[in-house]
Amino acid sequence: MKIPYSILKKLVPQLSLSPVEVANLLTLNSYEVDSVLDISSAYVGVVVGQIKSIQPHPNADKLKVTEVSIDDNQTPLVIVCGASNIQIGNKVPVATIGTQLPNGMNIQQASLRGVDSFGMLCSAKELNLSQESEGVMILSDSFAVGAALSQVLNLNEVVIDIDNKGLGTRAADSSSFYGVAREVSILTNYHLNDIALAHLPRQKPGYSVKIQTRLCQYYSLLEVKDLSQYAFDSNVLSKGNYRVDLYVQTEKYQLDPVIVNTLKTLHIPQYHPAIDLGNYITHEIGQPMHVFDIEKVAGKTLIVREAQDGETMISLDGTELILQKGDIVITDAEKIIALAGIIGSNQAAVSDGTTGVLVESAHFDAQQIRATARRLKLLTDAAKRFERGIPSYIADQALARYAYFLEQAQVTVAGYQSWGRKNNEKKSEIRLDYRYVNSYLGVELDSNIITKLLERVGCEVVHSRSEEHTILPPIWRLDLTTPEELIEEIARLYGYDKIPIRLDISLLPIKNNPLFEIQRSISRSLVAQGYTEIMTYPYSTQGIFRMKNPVNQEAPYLRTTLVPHMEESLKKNLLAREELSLFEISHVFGEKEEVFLVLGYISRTVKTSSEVAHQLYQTLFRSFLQMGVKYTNITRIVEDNIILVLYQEQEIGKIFATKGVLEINLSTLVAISGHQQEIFSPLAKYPAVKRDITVQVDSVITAQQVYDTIVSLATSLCELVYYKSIYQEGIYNKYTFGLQFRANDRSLSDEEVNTIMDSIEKGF
Amino acid sequence: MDELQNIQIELEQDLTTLDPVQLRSKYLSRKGIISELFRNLATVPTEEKSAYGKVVNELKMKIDSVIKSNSNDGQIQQERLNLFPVNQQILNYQSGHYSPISLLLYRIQDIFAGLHFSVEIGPELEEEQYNFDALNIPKDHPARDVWDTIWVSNGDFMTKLLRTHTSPVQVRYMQHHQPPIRIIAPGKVYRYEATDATHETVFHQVEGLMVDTTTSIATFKGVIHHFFQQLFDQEITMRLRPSYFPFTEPSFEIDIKINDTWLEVAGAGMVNRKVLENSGITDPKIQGFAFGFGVERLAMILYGIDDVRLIHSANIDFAQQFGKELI
Repeated sequence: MKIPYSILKKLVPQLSLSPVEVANLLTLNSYEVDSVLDISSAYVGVVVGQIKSIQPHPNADKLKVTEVSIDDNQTPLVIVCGASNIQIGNKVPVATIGTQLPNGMNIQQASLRGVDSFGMLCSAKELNLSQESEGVMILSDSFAVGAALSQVLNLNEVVIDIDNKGLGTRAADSSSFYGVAREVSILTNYHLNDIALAHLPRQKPGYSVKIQTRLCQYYSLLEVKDLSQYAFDSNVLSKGNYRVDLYVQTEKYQLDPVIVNTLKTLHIPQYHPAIDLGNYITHEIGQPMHVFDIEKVAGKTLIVREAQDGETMISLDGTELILQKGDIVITDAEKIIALAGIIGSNQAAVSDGTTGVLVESAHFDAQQIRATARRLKLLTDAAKRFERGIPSYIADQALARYAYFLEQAQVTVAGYQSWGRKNNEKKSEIRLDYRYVNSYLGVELDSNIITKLLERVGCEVVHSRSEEHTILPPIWRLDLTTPEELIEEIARLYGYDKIPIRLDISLLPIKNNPLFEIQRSISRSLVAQGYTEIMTYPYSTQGIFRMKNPVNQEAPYLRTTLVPHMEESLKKNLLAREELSLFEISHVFGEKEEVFLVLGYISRTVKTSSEVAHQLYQTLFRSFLQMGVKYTNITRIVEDNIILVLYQEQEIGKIFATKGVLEINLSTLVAISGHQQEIFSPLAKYPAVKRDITVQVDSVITAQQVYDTIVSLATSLCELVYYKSIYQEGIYNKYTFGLQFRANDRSLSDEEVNTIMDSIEKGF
Repeated sequence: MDELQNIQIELEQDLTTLDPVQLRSKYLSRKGIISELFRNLATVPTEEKSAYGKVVNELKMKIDSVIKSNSNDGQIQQERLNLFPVNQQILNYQSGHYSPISLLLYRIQDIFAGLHFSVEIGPELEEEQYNFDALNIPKDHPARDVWDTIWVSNGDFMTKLLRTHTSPVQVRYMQHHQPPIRIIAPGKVYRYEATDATHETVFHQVEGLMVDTTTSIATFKGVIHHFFQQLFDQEITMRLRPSYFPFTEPSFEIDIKINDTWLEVAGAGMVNRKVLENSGITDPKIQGFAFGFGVERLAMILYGIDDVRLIHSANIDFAQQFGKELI
């Protein structure tokens, strides 16, 4: 929402703050101001010039060499120009050397096909005064030579731009000049002027309205005849363009110059006074309006109804709209004349020859307007306003304002009538306990201070009983419906900076999510082992869950594994490195959403795939040991060099040896490991006895299997079994393991240990 | 044997003039004189072999003992260190590194742990109910447009979405825990939007939630001020500005002043009563705040990263600049 500072000054005349100060005040206490733009700053260096001579260019047919005076006392400037619409004596905008135009072009002294040129004659488009334009902009003869263009065209406005995209419920009351002015008045305590309104006439219009849908609560019409005196020269009425001529010859346009200047400043396209006036009032007080050409309306009855599936209409900009049940339309006796609250039909559009209009000011269902506008991709200003919510009392205010401006222009209003009910938002009272206010804010405010703050916003305290009060919010604040919303008003007007910074919180036990804990501890261990953490995008070419609107069309699935991304990262990063150790921890989206860890190892010098697998497994094993995970287990190769990693007999991951990648399901690991409590054991009082055992087995038997067998055969006196060596002999492996025996209550005798050793040997 | 005698004479001289290192090099190294003498043993006639060997051995022992007695320990140590193989592997050893995001997340966790906040996490593939409805963002509400959502389906009727913020964790947690509640919820969030140096489709947020019977805006100011002060390790000037989020009321933005510039760093507010009710907390005495901030944005401020797309680039030159701090 953009508001010219001059409009703000008119509504709050005492305002002594600069535009930037107003912007800061609003940002800190109400809503965010996006920018403060000084329009004239875009026209520094552009002055009024008069063409003194025009000669053909010696070296180029399409160029002309002109002499242009920008100072009556000095020699004219030589300027080369390509336009064909200029004549001697024309006054034109001249961009002098050193100027930067609004479109970013820098004006420098230049030689054009051998002729030096000292500036540029500008088109309206180059000056950002029109979306399209042909030739150089021709200015009014009344303008003084050498005057700044911003001065003569009144381009000296400062515009405050409020960001109301994410404003939520406050978007409605901040979307009009009057709403913003009211806010400034509340914050500064300066008086807010009323907006001048005319009395709406008692006579009824020659048209009646039938509302046939609940989606329209209220519909009012103003009938205006006899607009023929406002007929325009048709070649200046070009659709969608800013009416350049109007800046120059305002005498042709009998609307208040404030309106003309404002529309121009805000880049609102101008079409016809009847339309432009409606657009201005929409911005001024927030009510969208629509204007129909009275001669194009068939019959004497307008109907507001829901469209039927497949009905069509042609919108103002000429596109065919295919409607659905639920869309709200306005029809006359023959045709649809508007898609309610969104856009009109070109079948009833105001044009050059319009002699009379029907002005609509109505209230349509916000959700339906939103749904229709989204579906048809017609997010017009009117549609956005309706979906934000508009208090219905302003529908009549808008027509009274319209009538006021017509009166000023000595145009009579033929009739007015309204249909439907206005009171769809009943003002509802809110019960507010002032102790709750203080508890919420963390302050100790007196009751009368809270009341005063509420009254500043426009609230009324209608009933009080000790600390409990009944509050009636102002009708223009549709968003105030709960005690907490009132607390927000109190907080921002009291000032968030005055609320103390308090840090007196109580103790509370910490209980972290174990999955997050394990991520952190395993990362710590991997980093210590030289692994570097990476992050990759979660999108993939295959998976289970497919994105309806993928960010990358080639990878429309959510990944179910981290392996391919790790492989790619290894390849990508190996350049100029001898070896790489990487890891990533991320959510993956298989049948269940789970957290995976992936390790990647690659080296230029190493190695067989079994060496790589060993390296990865060793890293994982060390990490597990450091994390206090007691015991892991690895099975033999399954197929294609994939090795399964087991934990407590359950698969928790795989090693892809040839890829140099190991993937672990941390969710499963957490689920089966749980938290192990460390328990103190008394220190040993008696010495340990150590023995070795050597076992010769077929080479298909793994060390793990030998180890498991020894552990299963040893008695409880055996406190430790550890691997010592392996010796290969043909198809046999000779493993040597160390065993350590100890009793808690005595020194073990050799005989006792020998007996155990014998039974283990027999076991094999 | 003549040769041996000559060597014996030469050695007598060397024993007085050469230092132990030179001695070792000249006589005992692999190409040294003694080694050569031993190699020559093969060419000595059989009857002389025994005597020859004995003399050479005596020579060697003599040199050894002189080296030992003439060396002080320091020299020996130095010598041994020089011999220690400093190979390429050690020179090239790289320590591991955390991603700057993890690094920051763990710091954030530690600061909030000091205020007794636990860590909770939630699913990234989220239900519409948790991401929007329960957070007071009903269907067809204009507020939904603020979050550009990536919708996901598994081919059946089920439609889910990639969570657009970490706020759903608030609801999930409150459904299963009674106040007093104090959690942070870090994690990835997703947006459907065009990427550039400051916009990504996937990034990290940290949600905060503190709910009990006394938590106020003043408490919030205390907690968040303490947090930023710890994070930036300096005095922080902070301000709250009114804002709008459907799941908090009142809502505000938090700005902090760094190098004389106000930076918007977090959104926050008092948890909307509708959200408390949607999470099963109906006791009107329960109140509290929630906040959320973007981790990438903080990382960019703290570490001076100029392009957010580097975070997910898996570029090692980038990754290895971070994570040297101990965690």
